[in-house]
Amino acid sequence: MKDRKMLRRIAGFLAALSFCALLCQKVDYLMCPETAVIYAEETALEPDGEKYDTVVPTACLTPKSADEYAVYYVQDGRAYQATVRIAAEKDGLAAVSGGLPPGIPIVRYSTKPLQDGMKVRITEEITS
Amino acid sequence: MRVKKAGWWLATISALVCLLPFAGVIAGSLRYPGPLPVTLEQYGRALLQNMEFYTGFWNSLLNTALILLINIPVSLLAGYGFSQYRFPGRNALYWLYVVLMLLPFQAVVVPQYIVLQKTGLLGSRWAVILPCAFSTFTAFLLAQYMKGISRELLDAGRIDGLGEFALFWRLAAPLCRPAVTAAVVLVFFSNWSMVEQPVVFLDELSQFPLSVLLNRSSALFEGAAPACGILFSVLPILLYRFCYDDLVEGISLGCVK
Repeated sequence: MKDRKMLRRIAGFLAALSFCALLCQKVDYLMCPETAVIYAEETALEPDGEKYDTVVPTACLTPKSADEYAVYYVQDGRAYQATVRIAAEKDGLAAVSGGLPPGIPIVRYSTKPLQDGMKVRITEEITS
Repeated sequence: MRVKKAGWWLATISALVCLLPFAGVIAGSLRYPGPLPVTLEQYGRALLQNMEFYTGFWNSLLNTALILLINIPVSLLAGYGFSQYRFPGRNALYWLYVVLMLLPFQAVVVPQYIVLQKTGLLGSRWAVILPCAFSTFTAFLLAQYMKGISRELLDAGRIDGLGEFALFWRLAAPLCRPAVTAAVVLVFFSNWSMVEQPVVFLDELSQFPLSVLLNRSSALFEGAAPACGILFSVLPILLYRFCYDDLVEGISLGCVK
């Protein structure tokens, strides 16, 4: 009798966790911002001009201070903030230098304001 | 009388010292930055907002369940073989089992790593499950218990026309229920809280059990790590309560049946 009661409790605990897991998955999906990402390019801003390693659209940059900008990149399903400086700028493109890992997807836009370490879902990869 | 009282105090203080970390985690799980001094917010966050908790929890449950599903039947058969049959090399093999049981994980990690790498299992769930599923401790425990099964009982079964497997399945295995329960609980506890094997043999965060995630990266749980720890402890506590009587009987080996 006691055994059956404990067995029911174990089954109840696992069933409750399964239900919460499904609910959490749904909440997680709804709360997670959708993002479109772009990859930084190695290109020149001027014809026959100097080639820069990391060129991104200026729309990816958020001013932080007089000469520093915040950029969000996505790694392991989370958005992280990197601080960069603009080396050169032209026609909506900016050559940046600073703490941006090479070859990493950079957030172009997001459905919600981002915070450092926030979980995100990539829904679009923009190719220029 | 005075010695008895001192012993009682010593036992009480020791028990309180043992309970102190758990009490600390419970107290930690009831706090969260905010206006309220006591809150269940961590539990809410752990249960409804943290998928990492569930990923780790189900990984732990799946790993432990698969280990038990392989380990218990194999060990039951091995224990029956060791206890009831005489065959060449039996003693040597039995001692090999004992030696393997006594070897710490650190002593076998390199050979295990090489074998798993050569078989292509490294980085998969089976790299954690298979070495643990064939651990020899359970076979040793069950063999010791089965040595107490009387030969007359099995001979009576043979006279009644039972085959060798039927003898095992219909007579020996049901008699071993307490030992099997003890083995299930001990194997469950040791694998539920495993840390070294997943850290060494797995790469991806999504494959780690909760025991590793809780220790490795509490940032993943966004301030709800103590509540996740408490929820992680509920299943072993319930299982312990469920198996308590059989566990006590099973561990006290050598009883007469």
